[in-house]
Amino acid sequence: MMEMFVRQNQELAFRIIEDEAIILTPQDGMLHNLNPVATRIFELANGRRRIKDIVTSIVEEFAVKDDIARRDAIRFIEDLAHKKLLVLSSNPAS
Amino acid sequence: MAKEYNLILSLGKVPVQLASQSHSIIEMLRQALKGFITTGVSPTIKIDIILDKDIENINPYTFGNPHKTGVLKEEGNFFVRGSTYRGWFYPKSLEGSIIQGPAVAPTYLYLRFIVSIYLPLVDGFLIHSTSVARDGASYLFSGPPQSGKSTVARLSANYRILSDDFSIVRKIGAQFCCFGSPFWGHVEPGGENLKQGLPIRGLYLLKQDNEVYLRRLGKGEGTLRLLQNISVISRDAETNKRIVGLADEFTGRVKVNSLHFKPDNSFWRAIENDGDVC
Repeated sequence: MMEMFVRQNQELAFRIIEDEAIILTPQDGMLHNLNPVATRIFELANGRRRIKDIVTSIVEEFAVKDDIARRDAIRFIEDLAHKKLLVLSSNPAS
Repeated sequence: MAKEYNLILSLGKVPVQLASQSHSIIEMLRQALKGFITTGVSPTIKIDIILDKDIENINPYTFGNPHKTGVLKEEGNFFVRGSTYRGWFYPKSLEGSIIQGPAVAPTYLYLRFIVSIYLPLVDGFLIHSTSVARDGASYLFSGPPQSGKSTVARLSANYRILSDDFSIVRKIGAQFCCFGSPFWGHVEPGGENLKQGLPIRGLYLLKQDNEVYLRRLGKGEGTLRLLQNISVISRDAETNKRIVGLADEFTGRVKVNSLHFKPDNSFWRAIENDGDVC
């Protein structure tokens, strides 16, 4: 899983305000409000980064203990993918 | 060919034609929506009302349960079904039709649905909000059911109430303005049609309390709370992007406050003391 590429769902409507993303998903009209860590993950998900790259960035940027940060970051990515905010792919975005 | 009867409404400056072969339903709507009827303009949206007397007639001054409305979108077109009507809307041609019983309420609900889909295309949105006109400006009071929207409307009887349930907002030039809306909590001849709209002085998110005070919300929280109160039905990515963009712009121009209030009109003093800075 760590080798997979991750990108934002292109159908989303969102704004990042005061380090928190507000996202509207079109399929269900649901509003999502992400905390700063999840927002940073969302920002980093440009389709050319692998999950392991994003996890490394989060560990560095938020200066938290490596193992806890890795576990939380992976959990966030799984959660965001489950909610269709992020899309996982084995190939990078063109 | 059967004769057709019609009228044109102005809803947030959007001309909407209602047409039917039933004279009685058009006359019923003409009475109920008399404050919103306009003439001498070409309709932007055309709605055909088909009367089906087999559909249960309901009290025209009762909504029933609007939350039972179901919306389906297929190939860009909408199908909407409520407990007393079913309708279609084709966004490309801006035409729709509704099959309903001989009552006002189904038309109201269907129109509310159409307006919420169309407004984002013209820099607007439908917001779950009481709106009050006062001294050349408008004030929006939002919140979930039972938060006090109708109470605020009742306590503001000295001013013009634009709606006590769903308000029409549009960006006109650089300003966000509120227009009168026929979409009230109960179907009744309420609401005033403001041809030009009134600049919105503030959005107040209602919280019943023992004290009266305002708490200014940051842009992030304000945008989130605003979006929670906007009717988002389209299921369309482009429309949703417009709505989120408008909400972001709105909170950059209009103050958003949490309004803690008691069931008296002292909240107006708190609003007055908050000043005019937007």
